[in-house]
Amino acid sequence: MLLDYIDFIVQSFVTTLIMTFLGLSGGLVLGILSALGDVYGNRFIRIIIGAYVEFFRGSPLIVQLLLFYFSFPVLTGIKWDSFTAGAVTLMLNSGAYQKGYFKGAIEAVSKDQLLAARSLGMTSGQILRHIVLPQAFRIVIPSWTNEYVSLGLSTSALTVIGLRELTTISKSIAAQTFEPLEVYSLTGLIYLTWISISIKILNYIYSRVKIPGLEISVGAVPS
Amino acid sequence: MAITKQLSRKASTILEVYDNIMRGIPVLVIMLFLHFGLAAFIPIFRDPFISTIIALGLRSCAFQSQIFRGAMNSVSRDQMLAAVSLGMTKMQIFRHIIIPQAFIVALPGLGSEIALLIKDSSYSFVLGVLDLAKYADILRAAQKSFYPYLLAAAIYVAITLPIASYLDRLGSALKTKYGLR
Repeated sequence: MLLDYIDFIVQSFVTTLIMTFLGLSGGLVLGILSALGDVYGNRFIRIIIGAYVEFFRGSPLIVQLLLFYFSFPVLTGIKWDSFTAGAVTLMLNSGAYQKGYFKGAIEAVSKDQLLAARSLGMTSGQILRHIVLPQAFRIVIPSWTNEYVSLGLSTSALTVIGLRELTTISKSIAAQTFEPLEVYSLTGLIYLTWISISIKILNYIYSRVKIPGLEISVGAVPS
Repeated sequence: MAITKQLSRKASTILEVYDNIMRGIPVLVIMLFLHFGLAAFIPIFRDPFISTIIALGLRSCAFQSQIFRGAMNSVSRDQMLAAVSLGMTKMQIFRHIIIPQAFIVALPGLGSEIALLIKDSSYSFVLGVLDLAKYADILRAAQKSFYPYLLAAAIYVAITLPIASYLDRLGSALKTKYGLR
């Protein structure tokens, strides 16, 4: 019965969570850096960031995973396991999406504030640290929620490189028990519960920290 | 769907639930559910190709209903009041006032939805459909080189980017032309 496999399911769900958080936090750093580079950087930096973003946003996660897991070792000679390859790919992928969100948020901080800060004699670093980023973080939460949801669901693509996360495990359980209907319903339910609760929490956080009157509209598509 | 949502409250609750389910489950799990779970009861899902299409369709439906709902809400209330005062029926208002404007507003969203669909079609890889990603995988296994994946990624980029950016530009061009927000 399904209950016999509960250990595997819990374990694999934890793997899914870990991958999601690795991808999100790595993507957060990459996203902020490339957003800053895109807004304040010179032409050369912008072209590089543009190419990076277009590549990771334009191609499917599955192909990226396959590329990094199978081709990258051949190219560089570095051997890595599916966990590292998956984490790195998710970070790069998420970074490309988060760059767009952070860019929107950074640009939403009004120019007047920057001028005021400069006239007070603040350095660029100080302006970034005290004026731009605190506001950008609060503005970005709704779009960031979307990214969290889509990345969390995308972790199911990790099954193509054989990482033992929720979808992979449910595939093998379904193959062993011959009860695919029950297994996949359960899998779907787990994902659904997890995502719904996360959305509720993030929305609550946003409602507490949002800046009244300074909301940017989230894109119509939660992609 | 978005239209139904505005019409009745009960229908809108049901659709809300549908939306949330489709947005909360990976499309891959939906595919697996259809192809392996339901195939025993509904023979048509034995074909992985059809399972893929239906799974993508179900989810895209949820996403698109959101896009259109947002677009319809962006049509201002004043216009509807004006239409009512001109004696137009509900159907006429939909047909002549809301739909034409909502479509323009929805264009950028539709563009990224199409791009998303093209990218997510690669999930059919897992069901064994011979799509671009699968071909790249076969080629990689045969030739032991990394080019097939890179090429596949490049092809996906070459397909999705122009579509998304074209609809985005078309949308904003039409918006400016007709003076929509």
